[in-house]
Amino acid sequence: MEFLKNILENSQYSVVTALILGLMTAISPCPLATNISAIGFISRDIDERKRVFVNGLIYTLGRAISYTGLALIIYFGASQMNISRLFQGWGEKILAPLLVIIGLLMLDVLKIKFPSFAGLTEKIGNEGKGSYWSTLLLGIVFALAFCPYSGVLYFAMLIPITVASVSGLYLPIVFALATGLPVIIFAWLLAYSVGSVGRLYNHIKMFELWFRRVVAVLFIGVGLYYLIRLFVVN
Amino acid sequence: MKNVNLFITVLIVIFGSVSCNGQAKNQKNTQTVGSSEVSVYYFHFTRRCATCMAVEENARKAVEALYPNEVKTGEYTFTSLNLDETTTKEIADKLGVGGQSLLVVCGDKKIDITSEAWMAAHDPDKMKTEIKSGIDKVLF
Repeated sequence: MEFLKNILENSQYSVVTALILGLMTAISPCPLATNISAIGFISRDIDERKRVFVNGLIYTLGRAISYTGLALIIYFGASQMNISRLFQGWGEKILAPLLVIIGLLMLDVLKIKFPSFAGLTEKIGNEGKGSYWSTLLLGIVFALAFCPYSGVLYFAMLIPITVASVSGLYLPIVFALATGLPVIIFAWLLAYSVGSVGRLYNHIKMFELWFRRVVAVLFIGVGLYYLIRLFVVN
Repeated sequence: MKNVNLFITVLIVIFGSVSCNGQAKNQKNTQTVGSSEVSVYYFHFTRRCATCMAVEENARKAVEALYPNEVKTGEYTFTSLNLDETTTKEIADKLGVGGQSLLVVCGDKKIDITSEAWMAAHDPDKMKTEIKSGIDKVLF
């Protein structure tokens, strides 16, 4: 972290600043937990190596959509104060129960059929392969769940250099790429380096079923971790 | 008559600028001017990270160490405010605070040193430099 801080302080270029801020976000405890969940989520299709890697990229795209979307809203005149207060104040509180719900959906313990999301919940659950849409949605939601530290990095450091001029509006994409980098690297490793693990079990459907269950428990675990942090730790 | 008007105008300008500027210049001598109060505000939510708590602790210590006399007389203050509490809303709105921030305020002048303070969170000496720089900016 100190190393990144040194680069950040000596950085002359906003693109480097955005990149470093993204990396600092990625390795801070709270987004790290969501990224670990995301790695579990996207690697549930471990028998399809390429798909895992594409999912890693789509998850990062989801993050980029959120970060750029928020920056655009602020750039076009929305009150940064209100947007920042809303997301920094509520992001983490919504994330905790959401993770538990996704975990329960994946375990098929919970079956919610929203008319418009019916397809999505099916895809998240055990039936069928996870869709790219659910991965994209996961990236969008996880990015919006600002934690105390990542909130400052985004709203107090990235946003000012982003909205300063129209030429800065690409910076959230760089930031998002950096925040999603651990997921992309893991997805790549899973897809092209240890993909054989998946192939080994390719014919054993039970492996996939159990892997999904492990991921679901991971989601519930991370969700509970956030809940405990919210209500127990001050 | 013209000269009298000019003299009065000059007097008004001089006395008007005393509020924040004059105090800093006379820092070592007196702590008298009530209107030259410097407030350092740290805004946070109920849930805080380790870095956030370090920012508060080191920023508070920096203010106390740099300006012991001013702190004693209440001229310089450090205030920590929770944005989740409704009582904080009014001042947060007034200062345009959207999230965790460290601000230095003197009269109508406001300097946001959140970014600098976060980088200096675990370094008390660096925090002192940032706090001093922030206070100097609102004073001069």
